[in-house]
Amino acid sequence: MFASFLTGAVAMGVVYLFGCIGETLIEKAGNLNLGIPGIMSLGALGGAIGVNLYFAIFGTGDIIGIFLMIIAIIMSGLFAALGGLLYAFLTVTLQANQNVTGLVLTTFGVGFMKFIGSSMDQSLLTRASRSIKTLFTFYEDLGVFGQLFFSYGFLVYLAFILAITLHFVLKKTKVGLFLRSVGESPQTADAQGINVTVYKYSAILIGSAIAGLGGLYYVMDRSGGTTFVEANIEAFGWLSVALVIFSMWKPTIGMVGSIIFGGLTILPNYLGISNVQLKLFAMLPYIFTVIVLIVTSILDAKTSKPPQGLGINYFREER
Amino acid sequence: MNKENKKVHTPLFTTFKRFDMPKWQGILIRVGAIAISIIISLIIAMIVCQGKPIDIAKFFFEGATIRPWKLFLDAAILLGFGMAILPAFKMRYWNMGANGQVLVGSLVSIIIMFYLKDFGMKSGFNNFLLLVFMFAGSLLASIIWAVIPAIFKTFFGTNETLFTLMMNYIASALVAYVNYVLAKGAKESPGVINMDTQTGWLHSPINEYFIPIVVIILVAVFIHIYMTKTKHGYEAIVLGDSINTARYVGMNTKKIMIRTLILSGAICGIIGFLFTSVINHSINTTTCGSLGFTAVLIAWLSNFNPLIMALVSFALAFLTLGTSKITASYQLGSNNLSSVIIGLIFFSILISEFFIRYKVKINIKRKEKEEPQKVEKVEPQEIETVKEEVK
Repeated sequence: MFASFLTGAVAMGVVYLFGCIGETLIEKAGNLNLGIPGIMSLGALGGAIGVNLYFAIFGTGDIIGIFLMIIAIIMSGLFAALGGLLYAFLTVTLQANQNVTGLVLTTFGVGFMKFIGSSMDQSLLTRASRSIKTLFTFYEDLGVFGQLFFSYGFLVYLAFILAITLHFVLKKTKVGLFLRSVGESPQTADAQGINVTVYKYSAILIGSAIAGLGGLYYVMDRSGGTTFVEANIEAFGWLSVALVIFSMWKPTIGMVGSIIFGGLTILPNYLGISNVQLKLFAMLPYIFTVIVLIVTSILDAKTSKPPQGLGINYFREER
Repeated sequence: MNKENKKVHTPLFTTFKRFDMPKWQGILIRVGAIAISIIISLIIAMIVCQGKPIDIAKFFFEGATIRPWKLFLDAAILLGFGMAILPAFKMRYWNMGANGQVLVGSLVSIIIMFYLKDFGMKSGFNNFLLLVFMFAGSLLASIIWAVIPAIFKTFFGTNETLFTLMMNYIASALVAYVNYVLAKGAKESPGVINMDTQTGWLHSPINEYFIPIVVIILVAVFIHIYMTKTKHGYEAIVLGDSINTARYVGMNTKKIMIRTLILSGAICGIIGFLFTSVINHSINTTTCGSLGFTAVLIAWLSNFNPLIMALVSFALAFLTLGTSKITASYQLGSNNLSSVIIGLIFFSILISEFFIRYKVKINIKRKEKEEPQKVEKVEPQEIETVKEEVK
């Protein structure tokens, strides 16, 4: 029981983890992207289009998992990155307000996914989902241990690999150092000879692509490809943004946080409560987020501060 | 770095800040941007629906104009949401929670309407009292929902954007729960409350759209006067412009912030009450749709001007009704075409803002440099890693 809850928590949390890693990368470059829900939706849509593309190329016979995965990931990342490109162009190049641009992107992305997705063939997604849900087929032989660590699809492992990679890039490499300096103080970074625009664009594009995988993961893996249009990706997007604050902009804490958030999301299903109470307990992750927001702001610890230049566009000539 | 060897690079584009653009030109650019985005959207609609452009345009206008009262009501509600968030936004307080605030207000008045049905049925005066209770309940609930994040924002600097967003989802879960309870666990929702007796329904003269429209217009006028003519409104604006200035001149910033959010919440409460008593007599999690978000965008991109906000609200209501007719006619299953179009329109407005604020100049092979004080910003692909000022 507990093992299945924990497995479920990890599996659910990965949706948030993708969003969190992507947003962390973007925020480290000094841009607050409130378009994450839209970007995740675009990623979900792109992934679904990728699946359709796969079946168009390889036919609807036996599924070759690896090709399916590659095409879905590429398409999902591409769609999400296009959303990110729009955001980057507006906020970095055209100096538009970041919050407003993000909200427009959310409105657009969520609407676009549901609009295009509503006329899409769901059965293909369901079929595709079945073939990618487990990466290691031997996990059942390993008992609880196998269930906890080897029962997931490829994207789950990818999320954790990306989180650890991002941690190392930010902490141990020159690129990471430069990126952080761009987020903290673009003026200083610019004076140091760092190309602020290139860093911001790259971070936003890569971050968006990663966040988009969260949408792909949800519709393809977590939900089994069935609830595409009804998918509440918007809410997941907001929780991902909140997870960034919870993680104090650290991908490693984000990994743990994602499991907590995921656990709270699925907890009501494990409490053995009635359908009526289930509706009420659906607010758990949101209440937890509110508490997290309040506690982090009260603690106001030095380590939990966002990048200093967050949310402020960089006008080069205002030095 | 070796300065001598570094070539002076003239960017292909330079942008200057504009101060001299006539008002009509700015309006023209905006209208042009909106027109372009609508054309793009209709092309998307054409591709997805695979219908003739003439048909699509016909459905669009038919859907928007066939029920003019409904059109005005939708526009008014959107404007109402805009008015609810406007005072807070003037303070640079990102209230994303208008949806949740309206929902809880409406929810509380639904509960009162449901449980005090017998009381309200006794006489005409009792029914009036019931309406008063519903109104008070709605107002109070919305104010509480709006003020909670504001309190934490003022005292601890809690991020209000995410806080208010989360409050939306909490409100939505409450609505789902209460609906289940009111339906005695049998269905997801009790549907229209007091359908048979119409207790707690506010009967509007002319038709059910009249009162909400009039009330929201009055609210808009009030907010306009409040923001432009009163001390309270002025203080909120000063706070938004510079919190340090406000502190320096001795304003109680905490009090101003909470007071303004009480006003925001109260307007949400009024809308919630209108939803319950006049418009829907029922509630569900999608009652507010994404009106709260759209209102944020409208307020921001109308520059907080109530008249422009009214016009934009009307245009968006027109669009939404028109596109819902298109999606219904082609059986697309979901009316999200309007969100797509609204997104595209706002994107193009954001882009057009740039051209209103800045002038772009293309540099063709020039040796001399631009006057430095006029250069506003530089296109990204042309920025050199190190830009040295060579005298």
